[in-house]
Amino acid sequence: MTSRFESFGHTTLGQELTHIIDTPDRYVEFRAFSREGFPAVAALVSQLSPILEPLRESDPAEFDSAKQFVGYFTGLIMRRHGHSIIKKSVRVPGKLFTVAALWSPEPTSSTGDGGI
Amino acid sequence: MHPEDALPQQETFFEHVAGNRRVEVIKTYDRSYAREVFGAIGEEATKALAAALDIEGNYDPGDIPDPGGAEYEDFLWRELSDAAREDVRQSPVLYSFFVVTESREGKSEDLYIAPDWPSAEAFARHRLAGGI
Repeated sequence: MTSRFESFGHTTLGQELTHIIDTPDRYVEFRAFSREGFPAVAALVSQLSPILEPLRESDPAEFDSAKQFVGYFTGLIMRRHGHSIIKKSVRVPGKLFTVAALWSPEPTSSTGDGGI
Repeated sequence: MHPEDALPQQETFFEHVAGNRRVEVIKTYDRSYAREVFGAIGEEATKALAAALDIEGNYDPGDIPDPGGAEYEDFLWRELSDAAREDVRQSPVLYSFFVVTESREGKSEDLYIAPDWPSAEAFARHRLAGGI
């Protein structure tokens, strides 16, 4: 069954977000932000604000869907690398996202495939 | 240089004068001032802030202190402060707050504080309409 996140990932905006998030350097940033005690998605605020902020007013539903997709996709990357959630809901700096998961600073399992 | 000196300047985002009343929404980057305002706002403003922060939507009921208890103020301030934090990639120590202030006959009172502009504007307009 296709999840709503997978469906969103096939949209034009979903593809654009995937292209931005799914890069070799991104996991390094996610891990660095997690080490500093920030949700991993906080690493994406600068890049995603210009794309998502216009939707806040023009299409609030799409804005929310896009942010949820970003959280989902970020979680996918972190899990692939063996990280686990240490707090499911903390505030995200940057005023783009509201709350997101806080991930373990280091991998906690060897289930990750080591790549994205 | 004092760290506060490096903060961006305060800005006025909204101003409305009605008779001898002036209601403003200002954006401030001064976290100490924000804490003072937060400590002085009334019950209605506190409820409005909790709604703006979507406390009930973001946390399990068991994770939210009793609004009538001593821990709630600290909890809400932490939430406000965390939500007010700007992009840490740009600055790890920059916070911005929106404060609703009413001036009347030379006296000024801070009525509301939020991390976001829409809820501050809504509070100011509600105040002007006599709802608070």
